[in-house]
Amino acid sequence: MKAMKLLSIALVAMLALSLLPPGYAQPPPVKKAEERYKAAKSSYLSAMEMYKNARQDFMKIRGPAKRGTVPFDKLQNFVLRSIDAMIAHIELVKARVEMSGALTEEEKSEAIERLDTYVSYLKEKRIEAEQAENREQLLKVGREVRTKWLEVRLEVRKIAGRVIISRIDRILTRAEEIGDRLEVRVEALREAGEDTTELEALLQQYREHLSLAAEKRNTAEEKLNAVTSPEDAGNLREAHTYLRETNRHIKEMFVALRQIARELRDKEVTVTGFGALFARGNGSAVLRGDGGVFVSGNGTLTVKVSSGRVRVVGAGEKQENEDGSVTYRGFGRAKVVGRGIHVSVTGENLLIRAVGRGTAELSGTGEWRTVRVAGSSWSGEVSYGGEVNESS
Amino acid sequence: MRAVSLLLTLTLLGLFTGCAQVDGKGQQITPADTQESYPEREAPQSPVNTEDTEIDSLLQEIQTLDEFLGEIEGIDSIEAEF
Repeated sequence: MKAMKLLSIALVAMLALSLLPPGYAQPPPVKKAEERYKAAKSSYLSAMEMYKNARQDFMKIRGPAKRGTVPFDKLQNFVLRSIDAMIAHIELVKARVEMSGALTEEEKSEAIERLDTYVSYLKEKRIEAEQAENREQLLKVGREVRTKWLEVRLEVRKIAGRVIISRIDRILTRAEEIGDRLEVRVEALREAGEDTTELEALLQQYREHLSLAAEKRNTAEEKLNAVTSPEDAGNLREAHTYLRETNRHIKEMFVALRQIARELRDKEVTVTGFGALFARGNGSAVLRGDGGVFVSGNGTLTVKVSSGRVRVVGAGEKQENEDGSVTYRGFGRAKVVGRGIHVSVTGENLLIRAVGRGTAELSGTGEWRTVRVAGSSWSGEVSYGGEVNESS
Repeated sequence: MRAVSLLLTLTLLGLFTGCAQVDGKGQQITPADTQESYPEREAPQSPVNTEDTEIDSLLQEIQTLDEFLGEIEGIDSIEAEF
C-alpha cells in the first residue's frame, strides 16, 4: 500500500514535469543579455529624466552667476539624481558589453569587472549623500563624485569605444564578403553580355566607402589607444569623431549596397537561362558552368576556368596542377568568373553562391536553394540556370 | 489501482506532448518542419532573397551601432557641477 502511494506521488511529479517544455529552465544567454539591456536602457532613460529635472531646479535657484543659495533638499536631490544617472549610464554600457557578440568572454569579464568597481564606488557615495546632515558634508561628497566622474567617464568611453570598434569590425568583414559576392554577380552578368556600367559604378562607390570606413576606424583605434589619463580627453573626443565618420561611411556604403541588390535583381531576371544557386554546409561540392561562383569557408579548393578570372583571398597553400587547375588549401574566399568554370571544394562552413548556368554536385550536410527549388540535404546534383554551352 | 493507471496514462501523454512542442533550441516545431525526409520543396523565395536577408541583418547591425554611438554621447550630458 505504501509502495502504491509512493508510486502515485512519483507519477504526479512526472506528470507535472512532463508538461514543462525541455528548454523551460534556461533561456538562451543572448536572450538574457538582450533583456538586461532593455531593462538597463529603460532605467537609464528614467534616471536621465529625473537628473534633468533636478538639474533644472538646481540651476534655476543658483542662477547663471552662481549666487543663489540652493536649499539643502534641492541640492541633495540634485547630487542623488546625478549619481543615479551616472550609475544608470555605466549599467547601460555594461549591458552593451554583455550583449556584444564581437568581444571575447575574457574581454567582456575584464570590462565588466572594471565597470562594476565604478558602480560600487558611486553606490557608496550615494549612501553618504543620503546620510549627509549638512551642506558641507553634501558638498564634500559632491566634490569627490565630480573628481571620480572625470576618470570614470574617460574609462567608460574607452570601453564603449572598444565595443564599438569590435562591432564595426564585424560589419566591415560582412560587408567585404557581401561585396565580393555582389562583384561575382555583376561580373557574371557582364559575361552574359549585359550592360553593367551602372552596377560597376555603384560597386566602386560601395568599395570606396568600405575602404574609407576601415581607414577612419583605424585612426579611431589609434586615438583610443593614446588615451591613458584624464588629460588625454582630447584624443578621446577625436576618437569618437572618427567613429562617427566611420559610421557615416558605413551608412553610405549601405545605401550603395541596397541599390546594387535592387539593380541586380532586376537585371538577373531579364537574362534568359540565368539562374542562381545558394548553398551552405559541410562536405564537398563540384560546380561546373558559365557565369560566376563565390565560395567561402575552410578546406581545400581546386579551380579551373576555360576563360575568365579567379581571385582567392585567405591564408594557406597554393599548388598548380598539371591539368592547369590550381588547388588552394585552407582558403578563405574565392571568386571565379568566366566560361567553362570548374570549382571543386571540400571543407567546413562552406558558403557557395553560383550565378549564370551550371550544375553542382553536393555531398555532405547542409542546405541549398535555386530559383525554383530548395533542398535540405547535400546529396546529388543540382542544376541552376539554363543549359550549359558545351562548346564554351 | 485505477487511479495509478490513469496517472500513468496522463504522464505518458504529457511526456509525448511536451517533447513534440519544443525542440532542443527552444523553438516551436510545426508538423511541416519535421518532414525532413522530403529532399526538395518549392523554394519559398528566390535565392536573391537570401542576400536580402543578409542585407537586412547588416542594416540591423548598423542601426545598433548608430544607437550605441548616440548613447555614448549621452555620457557628456551628465555633469557633476555641484
